[in-house]
Amino acid sequence: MKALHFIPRPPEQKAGAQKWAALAAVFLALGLGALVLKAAGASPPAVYKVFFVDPFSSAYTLAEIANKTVTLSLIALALAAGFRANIWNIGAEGQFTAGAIAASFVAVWLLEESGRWAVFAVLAGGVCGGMAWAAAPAFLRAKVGVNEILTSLMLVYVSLLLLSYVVHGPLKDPEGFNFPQSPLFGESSLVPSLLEEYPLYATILVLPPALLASHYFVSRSWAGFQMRVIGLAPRAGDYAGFSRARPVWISFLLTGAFAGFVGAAEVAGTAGQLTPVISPGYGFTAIIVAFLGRLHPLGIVAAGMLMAMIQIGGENGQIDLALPVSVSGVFQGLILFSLLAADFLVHYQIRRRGD
Amino acid sequence: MTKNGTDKKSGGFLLEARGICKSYGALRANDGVDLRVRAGGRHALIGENGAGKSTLVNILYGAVQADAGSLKWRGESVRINSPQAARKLGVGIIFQHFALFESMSVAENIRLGLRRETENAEMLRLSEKYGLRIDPAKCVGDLSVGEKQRVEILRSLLQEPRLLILDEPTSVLTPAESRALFVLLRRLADEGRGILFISHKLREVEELCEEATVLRGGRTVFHGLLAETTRKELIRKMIGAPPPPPPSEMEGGKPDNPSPIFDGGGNPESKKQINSPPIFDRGENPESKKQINPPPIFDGGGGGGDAILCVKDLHLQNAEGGMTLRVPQLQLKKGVITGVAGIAGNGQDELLNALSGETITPPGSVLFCGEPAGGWGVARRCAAGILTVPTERRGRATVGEMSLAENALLGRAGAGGLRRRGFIFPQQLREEAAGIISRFDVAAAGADAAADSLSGGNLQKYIVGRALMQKPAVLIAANPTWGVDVRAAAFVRREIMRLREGGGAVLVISEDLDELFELCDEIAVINCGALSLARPRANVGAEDVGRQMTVS
Repeated sequence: MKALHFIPRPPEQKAGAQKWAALAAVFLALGLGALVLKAAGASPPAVYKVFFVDPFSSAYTLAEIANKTVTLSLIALALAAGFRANIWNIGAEGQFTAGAIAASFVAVWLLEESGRWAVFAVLAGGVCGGMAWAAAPAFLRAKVGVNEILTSLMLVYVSLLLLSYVVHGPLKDPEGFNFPQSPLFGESSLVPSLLEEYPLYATILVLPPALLASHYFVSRSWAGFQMRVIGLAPRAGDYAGFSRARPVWISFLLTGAFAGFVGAAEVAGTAGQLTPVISPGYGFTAIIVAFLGRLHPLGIVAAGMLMAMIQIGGENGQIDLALPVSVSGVFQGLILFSLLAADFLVHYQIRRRGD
Repeated sequence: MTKNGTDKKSGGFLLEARGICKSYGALRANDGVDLRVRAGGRHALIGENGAGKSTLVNILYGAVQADAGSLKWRGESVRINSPQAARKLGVGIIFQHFALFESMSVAENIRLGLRRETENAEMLRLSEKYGLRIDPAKCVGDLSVGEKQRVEILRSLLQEPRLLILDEPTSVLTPAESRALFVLLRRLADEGRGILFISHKLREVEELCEEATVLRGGRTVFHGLLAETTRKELIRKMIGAPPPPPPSEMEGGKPDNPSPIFDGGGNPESKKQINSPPIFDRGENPESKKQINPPPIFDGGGGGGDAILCVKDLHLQNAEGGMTLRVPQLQLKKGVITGVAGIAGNGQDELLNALSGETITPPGSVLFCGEPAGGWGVARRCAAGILTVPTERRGRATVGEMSLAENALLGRAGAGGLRRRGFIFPQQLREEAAGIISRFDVAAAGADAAADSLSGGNLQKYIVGRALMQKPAVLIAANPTWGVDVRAAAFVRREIMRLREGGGAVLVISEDLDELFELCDEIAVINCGALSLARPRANVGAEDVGRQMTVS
């Protein structure tokens, strides 16, 4: 029997292929998605119209997409810094949740406050909560050598239970008819919208400076340089005497801060209160965004936008075409698998044994 | 082998390459190369780094396609489109860096490489026939470098090659292993196989080969019988100039330094013209010498010979249960080059790491200027002026994907203006890299060239240059000229000697005995993790060291 086997590609071939892998993966996913839709009895063109064409005729949907793009991109930017150094924080979802919880405590505490500074206190609370949540896996990895993938992921579930406890207990609105949710935040604690008619949250103002900062961090900062060296050639990092613990701390605290920040912006924006479910999986989707965007700031924004469109499209498809809600999840999965396959083919050629 | 049949068709040439051209962008790697290898012939391919040897070999092996030129195999025109096609024709190749999986057995490695079922019995039969002495069941990770090479040769022989190409095969071998390899290669040639032997070591070429082709700048500049030429002539052809004198003569250092590579060149003429090649005219002017050779960072202590870095009673148990490093005493002194001889895998890595700070040891086991330094990490030791040049140029001394400019940040004694307040400065990095490139004659497309784009020799010049630019108090260099061409090797050695003249303390860990005897003032031997006391070179003989390296 002839078996397939894989031969590493020479580097000069890789460089060219790498650029197109992400794009190829998106198209492959859309192709596979069409097959899935067809099998499920839906019309692929109609669904893709809802996903990728309709949003442009609705300012409301565009604003929604922009909000989600900002959330996903900010988390993914921070994740990318760590991924470059081979530090795998899979728990941004937990850091997002922890940030949202901490921000809600601040907001509830400032319920009566009318000063506009309150929103900054709420956001700062989110940053601190996210960082605190990220510090645990960072400590375990840096000091004890515990695999950060496991600890950060497990802490996601801890954070979700904590969220459930908080909305059922300490932050439950005493006048909320026993619903598990916090009181509505005070006006001054809410992230304002830039537009009157549609909610386009001011969080978007953070994105351009964050893009610049992350670009400079990677290309110009000493810490970013060390992280790139460690990611590309760990032994060169040892040779140069770079600390292995420092990049762990930097990347985790950075992601914790960013995820906590957008977590706070989420509860202090869209919802205006803390509810038992606050995220459609932003922290996990951001991992796909980071890789689909090739860890590059602009690529991340583009990938973030695509994933936001798929998420919103899934919701709208549910309404317009009676699609199951899991369609977005299917597409996310297809994109991830296509990307992994494309990346594999960037690195390896497939040959048949015996050729 | 059908030696006679081949003879009739092609006039005895197994392989005939004519007018081979290959360009990479603006670089003409091969620019009209001719090569003819006889069946049963032992043919040497010589040339400096960047002369086009690797490109030619890659073309012959089908890994790269020539832009122009013709290939004849046993008298018939062929195209070699892939390594598979080359193997089918009967071209076997042994690369300098082995393509073996360390965690698998010899037999598994061979089966993987051949992509077909091969009986252990067949391997054993061949192994015995050629005296390779390899146990197919053994794990490759446990084999010595020489044994690994024999695994590669065995794997190649199982495919019945008519032409066997060996790329720098002796650079990793001890003298005794090299001799055994030559016996094997002679025997394979006597069976009618062609041998294409690529080496920088002219003495070995003369010992083994009958014919030679010399490449320079991508062209064949010489082709003929070795018996009809001289070593001096070959060097002249290789570098396009009279042979450079050995470093010791340049520096007016030790006149008794044996110089294995150029020992045919005692001709006074060659000395007269030494200033013609650009790299050797430095240091003639006393001013420029001063500029290049300021005293090292560390300037404490009295005259020459003071120990700067001492290791005492160091016992280092390997965490993985491997080699235990035992160093009763090692002193690196001002203005002295100490050599450590040994077969690879006998504790050299552990020693290097213990000195560089990658492995932390009990504080008192390493003394820097009398201060306990065993607990210092790499950064602190670098800052003190202890710099390292590890064997692994790619992936350790440099990051291949990064530019030379960015690589200038690795292995530094201090920030040196390249970074400030947590930021790095691309322009300064480029200038620093450009300085190393010009000062150490590195052939590179510029400071922005990726480290991976440099040939081994040029990358090594860059790495050594990077360290020497910082005037280290102590330089620890492992296999500094491994796989480096004649001129680059001489250059690197000369620069190391210059550091010594400037009062630096140097440790050279090398598998190349010739190199150690040429460079070092004192020589110690490492074997099974135990480092012997260093003895003055005058008191040790090569045979003696060779014996110490191999006793178990």
